Amino acid sequence: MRQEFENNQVWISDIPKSESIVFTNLLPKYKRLLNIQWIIFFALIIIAIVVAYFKFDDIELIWFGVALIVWSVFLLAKFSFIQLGFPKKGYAIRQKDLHYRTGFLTHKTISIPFNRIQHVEIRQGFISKMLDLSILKIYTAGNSAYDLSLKGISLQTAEEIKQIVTSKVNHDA
Amino acid sequence: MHKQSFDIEQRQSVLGTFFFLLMSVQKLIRMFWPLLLLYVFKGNATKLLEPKWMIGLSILVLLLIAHSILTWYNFYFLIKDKEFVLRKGYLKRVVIAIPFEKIVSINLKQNLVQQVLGVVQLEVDSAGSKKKEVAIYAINREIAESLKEQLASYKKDAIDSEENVVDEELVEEKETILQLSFKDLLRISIAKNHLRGLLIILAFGNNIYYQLKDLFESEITSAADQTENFLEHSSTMALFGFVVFVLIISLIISMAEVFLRYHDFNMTSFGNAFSLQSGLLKRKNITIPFSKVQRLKRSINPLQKLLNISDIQLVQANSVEVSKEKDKVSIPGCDNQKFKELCNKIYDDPFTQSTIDLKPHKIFRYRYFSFSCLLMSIPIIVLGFEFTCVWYFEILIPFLAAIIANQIYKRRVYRIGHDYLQVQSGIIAKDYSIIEVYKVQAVHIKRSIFQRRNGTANLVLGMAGSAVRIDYIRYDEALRIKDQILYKIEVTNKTWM
Repeated sequence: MRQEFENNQVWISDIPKSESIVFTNLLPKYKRLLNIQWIIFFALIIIAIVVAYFKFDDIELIWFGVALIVWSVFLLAKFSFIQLGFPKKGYAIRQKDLHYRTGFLTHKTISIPFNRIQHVEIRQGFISKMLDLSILKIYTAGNSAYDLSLKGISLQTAEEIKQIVTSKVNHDA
Repeated sequence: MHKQSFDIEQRQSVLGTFFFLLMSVQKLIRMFWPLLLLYVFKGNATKLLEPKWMIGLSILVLLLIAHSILTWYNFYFLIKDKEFVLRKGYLKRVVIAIPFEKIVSINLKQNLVQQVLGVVQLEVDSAGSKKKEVAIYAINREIAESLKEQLASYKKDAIDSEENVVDEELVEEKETILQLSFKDLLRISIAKNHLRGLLIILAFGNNIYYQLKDLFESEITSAADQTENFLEHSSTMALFGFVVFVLIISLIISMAEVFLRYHDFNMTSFGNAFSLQSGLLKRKNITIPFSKVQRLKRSINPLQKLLNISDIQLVQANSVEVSKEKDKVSIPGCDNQKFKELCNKIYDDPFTQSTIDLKPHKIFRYRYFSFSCLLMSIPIIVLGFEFTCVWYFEILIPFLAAIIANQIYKRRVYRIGHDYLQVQSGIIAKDYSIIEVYKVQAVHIKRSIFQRRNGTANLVLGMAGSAVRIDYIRYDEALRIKDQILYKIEVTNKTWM
């Protein structure tokens, strides 16, 4: 038993290491997109709060104040997270797998081997179309909560990655 | 059995129209039963005999019949170009085609209506990315069997040619693995988690209470008053009796559940697949090829340990997160030996491989301690506003939380081997699960702000149908395991399903 265990060690040190992966940062345009999206979100909420306050007379001023404070705290937190977390986001493509790194408070790294990818999908929303950004969604057979969406890349990059992925997937199948 | 051809489009058995009719009637009744009840009890039933209502009702009936006939008439199935094709719908047309290699399992089912009509339901589960479940609701058993066989055989062809599986067991000989007798079922139901039965009583009781409340408002209030009166004046003896009563009821519920689901449970293995049959009213017939098993789970609660049985669950490949019990096939009442037998059938010598055993970091314990403290405090604080004396229980919470956290920490072991990964966990029940490393779909590493400070990480392995969590291990270890798993996935050319 012990002997075999030692063998394992050699085998482990021999394989490609995660530490050596170099991540490519997302396009700075994506940060703009995030900002725009969240500005719209927060604007809608503040409008709702103000309308509610003036529409219903029985809401006291203090609750209006509390709502405003909570709103601004969330706004500040969200936008500082976006700015600070953005440099952390990135993706990397190796010969046989794809990695995506994201998150500010909780760092997350997702790795999907090409031979486990079911299919790939490119999406573009309204604003992201104007900014020439796209989302590459990668589906595995794993549960949907763990599917990968690679955001903040140009349409061209998305097409390129899709090309790589589908050729590898078909090659393996 | 004569070989049936499915090359040409065909409809279901004509009896299918009755099936669709009965199902839509059932759906309607299920939707409107409180209303119906209201009518009957309020004495308005005679109103239904008025011409206005009679015409309405008969139109409804005619519509239902037309719907059933149209549904049946527009429902076709066939096998074409190594694909199983379904065409259905008269308002919205749907064509579903499933390539054979995407078929995960083929199940034959019969509910009560189908049993009476003498038809069978055939369900095909696919591992597609979208949730498209395919079922034929009413065909003769013979046709169903032969269709199932053809679908399964095509599949085997595909696998054989792709992989050249050398399988000594391919001799089509059925071997019984597990059969449950009446006594076994009794043991299983005794050792069941009765808390669930209790919750069912509560949910049901609540539901029925609210449904009937409007009808019998006054009766219920007086009954409630009486109960209250009774509780106030009752001795501890009566309270004890009440507890025993509830226990017996939940035991009966568990028993009913077990007997309905696992009556005449029969598990056999043939070739490289399992076949399971069980159920009293709804007879279920499931086939699972060994290769489709993504994860084997086992759980033993203290009662089960006493009786030397355990629940085993096989998680099959499916893209939708398995919330439906259907894709998790349960095998109740396995003893230790049966469990080993099963593992050895599905996996290739899983227990002799050397493993690296990891415990979570000590921080894990503190994390769970604070977490359970918080979680348990919430109901106490909320209840405390009603009954102040409840607040005193808060003193006990740290002790309880410490015991729980310690127990969770003690139970949690990660065994990482070359080909297999095993996780042990649980608080009261002992949970265990084993996966084959190359069947992992995606690897995630998560590090919260606190984990970055103490150098730990959570490793989450996305599997088809579930996810395996390896929490609070050292970051460098997590990376190493991740590298090893990715390597294992990328070098293997075995199909994962």
